[in-house]
Formats: sequence, structure tokens, C-alpha cells
Amino acid sequence: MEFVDYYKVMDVAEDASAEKIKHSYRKLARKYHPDVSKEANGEEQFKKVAEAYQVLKDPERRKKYDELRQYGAGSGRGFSPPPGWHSQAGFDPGDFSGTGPEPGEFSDFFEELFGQRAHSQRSHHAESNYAARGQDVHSRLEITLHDAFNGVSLPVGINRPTIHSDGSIRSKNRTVNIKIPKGVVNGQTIRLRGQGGSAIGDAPAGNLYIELTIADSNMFHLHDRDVTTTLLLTPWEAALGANIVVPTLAGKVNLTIPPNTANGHKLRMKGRGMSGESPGDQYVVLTIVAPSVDTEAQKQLYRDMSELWSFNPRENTGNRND
Amino acid sequence: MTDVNVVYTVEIVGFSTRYTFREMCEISHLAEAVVTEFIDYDVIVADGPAGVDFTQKQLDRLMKAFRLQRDLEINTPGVALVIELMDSNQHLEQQIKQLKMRTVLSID
Repeated sequence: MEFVDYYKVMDVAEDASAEKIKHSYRKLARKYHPDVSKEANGEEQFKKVAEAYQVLKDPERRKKYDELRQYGAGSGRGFSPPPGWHSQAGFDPGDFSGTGPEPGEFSDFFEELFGQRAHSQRSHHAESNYAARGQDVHSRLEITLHDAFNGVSLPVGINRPTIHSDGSIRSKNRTVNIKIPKGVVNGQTIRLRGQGGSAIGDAPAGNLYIELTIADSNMFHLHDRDVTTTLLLTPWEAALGANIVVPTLAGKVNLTIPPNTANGHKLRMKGRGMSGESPGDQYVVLTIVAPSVDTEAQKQLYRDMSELWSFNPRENTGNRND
Repeated sequence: MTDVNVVYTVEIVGFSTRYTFREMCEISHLAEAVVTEFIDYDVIVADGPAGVDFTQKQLDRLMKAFRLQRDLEINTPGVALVIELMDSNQHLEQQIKQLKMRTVLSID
């Protein structure tokens, strides 16, 4: 077991005041909290910070930790608490209130050092007729738009709180294969019954809830069940109409562009959005791109156009400079 | 431990699932007074068809609001403001993404 330097985790000196520790916690929590953080490893970092704060914010726990730190820090090898530590610890993660990981999400280091009293209490429960449903576990998973449209089977890692025979709660990492049906949308939650925390006694295990996030796509923008794509047109395609191959989530299709199409017009392809019982639509936003004018013939063509049309796009806009 | 040989078929508990107030309290493990306070501050609203029940979206918001309150040590009006700003930020990010997509495609 590695010694965890909570002062380093909290980015404070070992003689830091309670106020300084609180300030540092708030700063780090804003940075790493999984509900607001954009950091790749925000959730893991936040768990470490919250665990460190649980210990350092309480003078009594901090004093005990400091004693341990004197004993174990800098050993450079695996750390073991001093003999007799457990009998004097007297901490119970279950008593911890306010911030911090859920029970079962504390590190091995924390569980080993501060979890004994809680273990004995849970062990007592296990020996009696006490029964309690396992806790629900909430997690997140990012999948591609392609997988959301087609459905997918994929392995996911689960950090599952498990109650051992001695009553202790430990995190157990396992990988399970889950089958996600087609047509899920951003923010949708899926449930795996009985895959959450283990129960005490005869009660059922908790459920695992996974909130799905659909990863960004360069080509499609997803909003609920509808997707939006942008299609670039030449001025003559927009003016004369055209048949153009466009991508959809299900593959390429031919789209008819009507004549006299204006820039920014939106075409709806019914039922071409996200799959499901009520499939969404695909909206194609048309963007007209003018080519560069390089040759004399091209310039002449524009001069001819200016004579053919008495067209001023700034008319009625209050910016008519003619 | 690896259990990849067994395929678990998940259940969708998304947008068609409805919860009563009592179910919201039970699932979130929050006291009725706490959930009521989040309702009072419009953090969650009864958005089910009957006007008295809650969708999965509201349950997710309730859990998020509770985590923010617990972990960032902010009071309920503060949580309401944070959630509102996060909603607004998400909406703006979506708009920026759409605009960027058009711009990039135009340049390419």
C-alpha cells in the first residue's frame, strides 16, 4: 500500500491553517468536480481531493494522520500502519458528513487506516438479521454517434462497492460487457439491475445507472433526436437546383435541391435523424459558397451578371449605399 | 475481475420514465425537506404530463444539485444559480458548435 500525502494532494503546507485548507479544497473542487470539470481525469482527482479534505478538515483526524505521516512518509516503499494503530483509530467513514466520496469509494490507504470501526459495525450487522439494499452506483459513459444510432455491445469498467465477510466495504473493479440498444440520445440514463453495491443480508443489490454522453461528430450535430448537417452549394446549384449526395446517419442518400435556394435555407429529411420508435429528422442547412474569380472570362461573367440583375442585397436594410 | 463473456442488456430509464415525489426522495436518498427546497428554488420542476410527477431529467438534475451542494459547500440559492448558469453555458456551447461546424465546412 502506497502512503498518500494528503498535504500534497491538497497543495498545502503541512502547517497550513484550517482556513487555508478549506480555501484550497474549494479551489480544487471547482477545478475537478465531475459535474463541472472539463479535465480528462477530473473525477479521479476529485475523489483524491475530497478524501484528503475529509481527513485534514477535522483537527482530531488531522492530528492522527500527522502522527502516521511522521511514521510512514518518506519510507519510499510500501506503507503499513504501526502496530496497534487500529485500536486507537476510532474513525468511521460512515460518520463523515458533508463532502467526500460515497462509502466504498475511499482509497485502500484510507480504508486501511480509518475504516476499521466502520468495518466492525457492519460486521455486527452482517451477523444479525439486519438487511439493507445495496447502494445505487452512478456512472457516465461516452459513446460515438455511430454507436448510438446502430446500438453497440462494449465492455465497461465498473467500480462496485462490495461488502466483505468482515463487514468492510471495498471497491471492486470489474469489467462487464453491456449491450446498449440503438436510438439512445444524449443524457439518457441506462440501468443495470443488481450491478450496483452489494447488499447486507437478504436485501437486493443496488442498481448501476449509467448516464450516456454522445461524443461530438464533425459532420452531424445532434439535438434530442434530430441531427443537423451543413451542405455547401455552388451559386449555380442554388440557382438552378441540383441532385446532391448527402451523408445521413444510415448512409448516403440523394437530396434534391430546389431551384432558387437561398443561403441558410434548411431542408428537412423526415425520419433520417436518430433511430428509435419515433426517429428524429435530419435538417440540412444550405450554405452557398462563391468561387474565387481569377480569370478574365470569370470576371466578365460577373460583369454580365451585374448588368442582368438590378439586385441589391442591402436594400431595405438601412445600409443601402448606392 | 473480468466478466466480459456475459452480456448485460441494459434497461433504458430515460425520458419516458416518471417518478412521484416520494420516489424521487427514495431513489436519491434525500429527505423530503431537501427535495422540497430544490423544488422551491426551481432547481427541479414537476415536468411530467400530469404536472405532479418528474422525468428522469429532473432526477438527474436533483442528483447533480445535491452533489454540488455537498461537495462545493454552497447553499441552495447558490446551487440554483450554478445549475441555471450551467444550462445557459450548455446552450451557448451548442450554438457555438453549430456555428463552428458551418464555418469550418465553408473554409474547407
